[in-house]
Amino acid sequence: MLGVLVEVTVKLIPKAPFSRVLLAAFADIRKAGNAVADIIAEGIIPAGLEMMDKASVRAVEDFVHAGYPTDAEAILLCELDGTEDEVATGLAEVTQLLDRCGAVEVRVASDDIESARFWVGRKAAFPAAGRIAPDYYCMDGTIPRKHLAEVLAGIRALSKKYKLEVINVFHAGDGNLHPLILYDAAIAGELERTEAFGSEILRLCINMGGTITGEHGVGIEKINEMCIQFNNDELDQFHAVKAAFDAKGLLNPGKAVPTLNRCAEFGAMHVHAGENKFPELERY
Amino acid sequence: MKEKINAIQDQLVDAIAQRSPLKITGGDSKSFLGRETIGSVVNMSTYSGIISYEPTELYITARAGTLLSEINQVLAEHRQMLAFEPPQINDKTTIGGVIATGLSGPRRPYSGSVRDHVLGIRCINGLGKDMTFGGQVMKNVAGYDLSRLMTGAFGTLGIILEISLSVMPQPAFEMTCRRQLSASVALAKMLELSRQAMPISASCYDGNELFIRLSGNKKVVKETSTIIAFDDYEQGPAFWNHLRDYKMPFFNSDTNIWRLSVPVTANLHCGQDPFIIEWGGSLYWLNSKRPAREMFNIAHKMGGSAMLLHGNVEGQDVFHPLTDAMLSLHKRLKNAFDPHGILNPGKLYATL
Repeated sequence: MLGVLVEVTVKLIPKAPFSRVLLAAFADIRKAGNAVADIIAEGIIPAGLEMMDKASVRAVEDFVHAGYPTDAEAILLCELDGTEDEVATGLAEVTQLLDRCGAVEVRVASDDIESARFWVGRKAAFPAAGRIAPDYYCMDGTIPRKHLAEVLAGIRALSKKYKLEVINVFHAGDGNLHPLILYDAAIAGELERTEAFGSEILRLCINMGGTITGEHGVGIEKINEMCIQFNNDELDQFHAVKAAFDAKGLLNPGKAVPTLNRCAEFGAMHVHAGENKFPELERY
Repeated sequence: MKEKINAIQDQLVDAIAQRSPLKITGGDSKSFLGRETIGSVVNMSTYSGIISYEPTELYITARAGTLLSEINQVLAEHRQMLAFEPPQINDKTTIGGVIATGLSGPRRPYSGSVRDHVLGIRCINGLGKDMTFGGQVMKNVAGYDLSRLMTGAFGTLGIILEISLSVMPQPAFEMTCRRQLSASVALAKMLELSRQAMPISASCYDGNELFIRLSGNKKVVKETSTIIAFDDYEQGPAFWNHLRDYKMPFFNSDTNIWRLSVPVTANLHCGQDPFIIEWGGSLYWLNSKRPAREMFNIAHKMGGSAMLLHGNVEGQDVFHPLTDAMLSLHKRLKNAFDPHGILNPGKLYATL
C-alpha cells in the first residue's frame, strides 16, 4: 500500500536454552479464560499461551491424535522458556495456579518429544478444519482477554443463527481469536452466509473494545468492517498518509482502507472505542 | 475533560484562520530537546489522569498530561512497569511528552522502545479532527500504524490526547555488577554477553567501568553474575536512574551532548571527547565541541544517526539530516496531518 519492500532488517535475539510446554484441560471455558488472566497477573509471561475449544480439540484429535482430552470444554497450552531451572520453577508455579483455577487435568510434557506432540495438535487446527469441511473461513479478531467467555458465547449464538459450524483456536496470551467458520462453497448462498457470520464476529470484537484483525491484516476481506472500526475522519487520515507515499495510487489500489463511498454503501453503524449505541439491546 | 478537547479544537480553528502556529507543551521537562519552535502555547498538562489500567490485560490508558511519576507509581503497586524505562527528567515529566519525544532508557535494547509499547493513541490533527488509532489490545493490524508514527514525531503530526501502552511485570530480582575495563575490552564484552541468552536488562561503559544489570529469576540472575564474574555494585538502582534521567555529571555540561545511535559493532573512536556507551554498544553519548556536521558524518558512516540532546548548534539541524528523498517524504507526511503547518513547525527540521 505504501511501498514495495525490497529489503528488510530484523533484530535477532538468542534462543532460550530450554523450553517446555504444559497442557491443561477445563470443564468450563470461562475458567480457562480466568486462568489466563491469573497467569499474567502472577507476573509470568509465557513464550506461548494458546487455547482451543472443544470443537477444535475434537477436530484435531481425529486428525493428528495428539492425545488431547476430547471431553474438555477447553484446553490451554502454556510454554515457558529460559534456563532449565527457571522453566521447572515456572511450570510448578503455573501448575499450582491452574489447579487453583479449576483445571480438571494438567499435564507437563516430560521431554522435547512430548512438548512437540502437545504443539502438533494446535498447529494442525487449520488443516483439521479443512479435513472436516470443504471450506473454512478464518477470522482474526482481537479482544481484551477478560471478554473471552462472552465473545465465545456470542460466536456460539451466531453459529446457530447462521446454521454454520465454527471451531475456535485462540492466541490466549494476546487476546487474538481465530474462529474458523466451516462451510461449503459449492452450496449456493453458503459463502455469503459465512461472510455475514464473520462480519458479525468482527463487530462483536469491536463492541468488546477489540479490533477486527490482530495479525492477518486487511486486504479485500474485512475491508467493510474497517468502516465500523474507524470513523470517516480516521479513514480520511489513512488515505492522506497513503497519498504521501503513493501520490498516484498505484500500489494495491482499493485494498486495506475502504473509500468513504464504500463505507456509505456498506451502511456501517460506527462503534467508537467500544461505546455502543443503545447498549441495553441484546446483539447476538 | 470534553471541554479541554473542545478548547484545543477551537484553538486550532483560530490558528488555521490566522495561519499562526501552535506550540504544544506538557510538563516542559524536555524543552531542551529539538529545535526552537514558536507559537501560541497548547498546554496539555491540565489534560491528565489515568483513564483505565488493567494489570491482567497488561495495558494502561492515560491522558497526555498525566505525570510519568504517577503512572510509574500506580504500575509499581501491581508489580508492573513501563518496560522501555523512559527518562524521568523532573517531577513535571508527562506521559504525553514521553511519547512525543520517543526517548527510551537503559532497558530499551533488551525490552523494546517506546514505540514498541504504544498500543494506541487518541490525537487531534492539524485540521482539528479528533481521531483514535490502534487500541488497547496487544495485537492490532487494522489500518496504518499511525499511533506509532506519532511516537517521536515531537507533536508535528498531531496533538496527543490519550495514550494506551503495554506494560510488563517487574523483574522478580535485579542486581548490578561492574568491572574496570579498557574501552575496547568493554565493547567486546558487551557484544559477547548480548549474543548469549542471559537476563541482561542494561549495560553501560562510562569510560572506566563496565556496568551490567541483570533482571529476572533470582537463581538465574545469581548464576549469571557468577559467570560474568564482575564485582557486585550495591548502588545499581541509583546509577541506572541517573543514567536514564541524564543526571550523571557527564550530562551536566555546557558543551554539546550528542546522542549517536549506531550498530553494536560500530566501535566508534571518540577521540578526546568524554563519552558514555550504552545499549550493548549501540548508543554513544558524546560530550563534544566538534561541529554538528562532523557528528552526523560519524554516525552516518556507521549506518546510524545522531541527535543533539542539549547544547547549541546555532540554528543547524539537531536531528540527523535527511536525504532529499526522505525530507520530501517527511514533508508530504506532515502535509497529510497538518496541511497548514500549525503544529510545532520547525521543531524537528527547519522546513517541516
